Amino acid sequence: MEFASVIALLKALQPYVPLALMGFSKAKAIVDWGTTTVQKAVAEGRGISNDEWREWNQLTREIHEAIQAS
Amino acid sequence: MKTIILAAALALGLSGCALFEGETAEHDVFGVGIAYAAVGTAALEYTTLPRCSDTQPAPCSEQAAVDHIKNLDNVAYNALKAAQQAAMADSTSLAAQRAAANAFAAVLAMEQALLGFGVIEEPIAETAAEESV
Repeated sequence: MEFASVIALLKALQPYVPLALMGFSKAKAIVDWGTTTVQKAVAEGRGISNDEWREWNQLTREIHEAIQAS
Repeated sequence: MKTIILAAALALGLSGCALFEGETAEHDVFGVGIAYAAVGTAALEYTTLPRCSDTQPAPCSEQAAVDHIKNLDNVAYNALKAAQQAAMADSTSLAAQRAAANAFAAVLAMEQALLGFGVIEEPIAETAAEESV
């Protein structure tokens, strides 16, 4: 399986966000934040920072825990 | 339910054909995590509905479907964390790339379940991904 570039993927998704996520601001915010973060890291020629991983960890953990608790 | 369909479809771009190499496994894992979060958000919209019963009309969620989604969520989340560890250890290693691909596959499996249960209806973002290249 080939692997998608994260930036290309998120760019591909962005045009659909306003249309797709009317009233779904949380998911829109997630995609927007992920796009911005990865683009910035790549543009600066660096990896994901500790602060960015911390936010990512919190985001994914909260969703995981909420699904398991539902 | 419309928002569920549309929001989850965002992450379905991961299953599209517009694939090319990411910068490093670290960036890829980060992106897979974002997709997981988007799919998970859609899944949550379904799993937090009241369970269907004789006295609970639609919109409601089927217990069997919720159980299946929870199992797939566990697999995806664990694969994601394993991929994160591998990428942070050596983002250029084959092991990190494989772990990222495993996590990617697990997120796709979660999406497929949402499609199968009718939580989402079509992978519209797949088209978006194809058109973007």
